Amino acid sequence: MGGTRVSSHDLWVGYRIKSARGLPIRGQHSWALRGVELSIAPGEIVGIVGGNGSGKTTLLRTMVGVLTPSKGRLDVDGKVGGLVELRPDADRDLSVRERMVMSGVLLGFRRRDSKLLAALAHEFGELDDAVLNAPVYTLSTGMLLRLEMSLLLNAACDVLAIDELLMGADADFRNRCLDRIGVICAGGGSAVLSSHDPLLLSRCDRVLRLEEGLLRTEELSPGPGSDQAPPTDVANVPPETST
Amino acid sequence: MVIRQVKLIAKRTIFGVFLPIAIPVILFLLYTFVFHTIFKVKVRDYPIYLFAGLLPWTYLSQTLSVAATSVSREAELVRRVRFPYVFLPMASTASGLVFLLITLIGFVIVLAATGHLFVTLLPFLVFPIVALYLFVTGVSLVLALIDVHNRDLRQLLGNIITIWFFAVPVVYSQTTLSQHLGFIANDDPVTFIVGEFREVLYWGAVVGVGHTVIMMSICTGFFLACLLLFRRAERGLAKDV
Repeated sequence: MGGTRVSSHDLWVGYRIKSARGLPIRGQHSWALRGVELSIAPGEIVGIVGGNGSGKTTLLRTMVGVLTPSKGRLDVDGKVGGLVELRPDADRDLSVRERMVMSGVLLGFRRRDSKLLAALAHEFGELDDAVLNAPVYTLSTGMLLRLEMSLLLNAACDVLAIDELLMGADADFRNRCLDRIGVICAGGGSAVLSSHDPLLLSRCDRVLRLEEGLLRTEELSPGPGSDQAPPTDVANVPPETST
Repeated sequence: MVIRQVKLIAKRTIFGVFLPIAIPVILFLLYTFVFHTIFKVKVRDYPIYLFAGLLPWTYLSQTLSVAATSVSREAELVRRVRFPYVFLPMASTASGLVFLLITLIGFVIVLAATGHLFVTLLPFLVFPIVALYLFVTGVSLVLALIDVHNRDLRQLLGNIITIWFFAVPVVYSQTTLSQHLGFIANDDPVTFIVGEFREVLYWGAVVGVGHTVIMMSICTGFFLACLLLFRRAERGLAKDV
């Protein structure tokens, strides 16, 4: 792949349009991504902005490998870790510690690393033992985010794909995450952050805009206010399209 | 994932992991009363005959009910991380196998205490247990795929399993099945598997090599076909789940 961490060529990702009963309508698709050309170099932090339904989450899910391209290709060089969905209702009866091990295993840790994972949750996420021993359903979304980010940002990933979830963190933790992302990228990693948050976008090397699945060729300057003008016609995206 | 599955069964329950083990015992008491005491089914040592058949059957019925929704239930996980999603239904069938083995150990102890144990034949149970696991896992993979696309299945599954239950000689004798539903006796892999469990645990015999080879071949082939189907379909699961 040469000097790129992430590259896509003519990337199309489509969803089958479904009826109100949830059954697919024969021959009908909606395109969440339309011919996206993307190249991200090692060390880069790239912000993705765009209105709701513009394809940001689909792009991140395709990077993580959860979605496969309908056409074209997307290549990622190295280990990719993503936080595209927080799963607040998953494993809600487990203890936070048990869920932590599960999330850690999915990020490449081993089961016997549970002490390391707990240390990360303590130090990075500032979650104490009382929190780790509590059932998942007692935690707020913000606390769950702390747990998941603590693991993700210490999982030795080469490429990070993070959806708008960081907006749910308090300012102190968000800054700590952004500092850590900066360290990872300074070491040769890359990060793609989808966000509407001016503060977060100001920490990106460049910001790209998605509109109805099309990646705009012009790159927006990072900084406050870069996401102030969402496209006016995003409402045309079919409601069945889960992006 | 198997450990997680077992832990989840134990959460917010009083009986916890003992319930999956207790269910065959509860069914055993019920069916013994109904079919042995009331209907007077003519089978020697009926309680042992019944439990030897209930063991594989309760594994099948309990596991299919859980495994059928194993992918839909984990929608958030499927949409978040790429991993072999085949692990989701397989974790359900593997955790069920743990309970089957624990119940089997308890049954073996009872057989030993009552003088009905054929201890040298126990190793031959490996074949029907493996065949059962492969068959149930294969069915689970298909059901989990169907449930992602269509929710009718979860409404119907309980009834389908009930009908299936009476088509397998669990509460009545193999001879009765052959008289009335001969085509099922010859074609249903579960009837084969229940028969092999009974051969070892009830009759104290070993079925012929040919029978075991046919059973293992059918179950292995069925499992591989279902696995292939699942692997082909799992690429699109995150879009539909």
